[in-house]
Amino acid sequence: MTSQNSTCLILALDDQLKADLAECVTVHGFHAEAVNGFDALEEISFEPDLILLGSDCPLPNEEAEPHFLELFIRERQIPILAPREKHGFVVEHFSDVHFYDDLEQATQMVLSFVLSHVRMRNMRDMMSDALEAFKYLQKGDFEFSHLGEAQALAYLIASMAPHKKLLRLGLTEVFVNAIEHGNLGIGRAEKEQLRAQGVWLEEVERRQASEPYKSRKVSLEMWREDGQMKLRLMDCGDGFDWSKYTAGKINPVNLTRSGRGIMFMLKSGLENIQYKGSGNTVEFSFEGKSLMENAHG
Amino acid sequence: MDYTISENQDLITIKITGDLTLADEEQFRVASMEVSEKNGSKCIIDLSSLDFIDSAGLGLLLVLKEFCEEKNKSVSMRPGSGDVKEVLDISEFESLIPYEN
Repeated sequence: MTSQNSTCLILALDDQLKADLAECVTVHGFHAEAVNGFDALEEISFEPDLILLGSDCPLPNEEAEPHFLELFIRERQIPILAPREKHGFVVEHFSDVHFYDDLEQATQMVLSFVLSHVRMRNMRDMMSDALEAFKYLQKGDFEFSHLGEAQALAYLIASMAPHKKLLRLGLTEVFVNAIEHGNLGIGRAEKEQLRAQGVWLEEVERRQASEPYKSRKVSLEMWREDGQMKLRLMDCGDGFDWSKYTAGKINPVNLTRSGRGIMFMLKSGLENIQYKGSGNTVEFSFEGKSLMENAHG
Repeated sequence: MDYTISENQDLITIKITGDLTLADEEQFRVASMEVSEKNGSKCIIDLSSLDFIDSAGLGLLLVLKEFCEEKNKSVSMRPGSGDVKEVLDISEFESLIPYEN
């Protein structure tokens, strides 16, 4: 039974309204927690399956930084059930928003939205549990050839690092570079020109569908060594002179549509970056210990 | 990526949510064109709710800037405070598109 673990968060000021809204929730067997609005919480120890707004719920200051609860709701994709008069704010700030005209209608709507989010939450928890198995990885080999595959792999590997978004950024850059500069032979100047014309992705897809690029893949080896995750990436290109990007400070003004990727690799948590051979093989590492800790988090 | 475009007198705000990456090239160019064709003379790119941006995403912000400047609109950014702000700071992107005053 999922309902025993489901809690709805009620945001309202008036005590009677809080009680009325709680009744819409508890009648289905769900728990209800009530607070005085978005700004009333400094932290949250559970994931609500629904946010139920009262008509008197104070709205966050539009000019201020988004409150943590607002970010939490967006990140977890928690549905919001709001009275119709709150339409403007909630539609602008959240994606999964629904409206009720009266408490009877709210009561009917609560059930389906809660169960829908419970299903999604359970699925996410299962995925999270599956990812934990990655902490047992001692050695792994991957192959990819398309940008979407590079993005997905970067997301997977980075999801176990403490600064996952920065590491995801660095891995994305190095993987995408291997495809477009290595396998597809698109140089930096050419890329900039293609992007200025708005045809960069078209050109990437065109090359990937034709010889000699069609069969080219990027290989990634990953292994654990001395408390670190080590990675070796190999593409089918001629390599490039990487040293000029590491020798000194890069002028950001010159980093227009391409070239920023190198800098992100350097600052994203990737360590010991070394190009080998002709320059089409790069080795790097990141903290394996942090990866382990994060898998439990 | 999702976006909303709002207008308030002379000000156009495009608020971007989700991830802005190389996968969003086509959609973001459409959004950029839409913003550039609005009547206001100032555009704010609101990144305060953006979850993730890569270097291709930063390039797309420059596309938006170019489209706007072609229509004589000034462009600034609302960077937020999280990981995206860190990426903007690392790349010193403020030198290309200034933060909102």
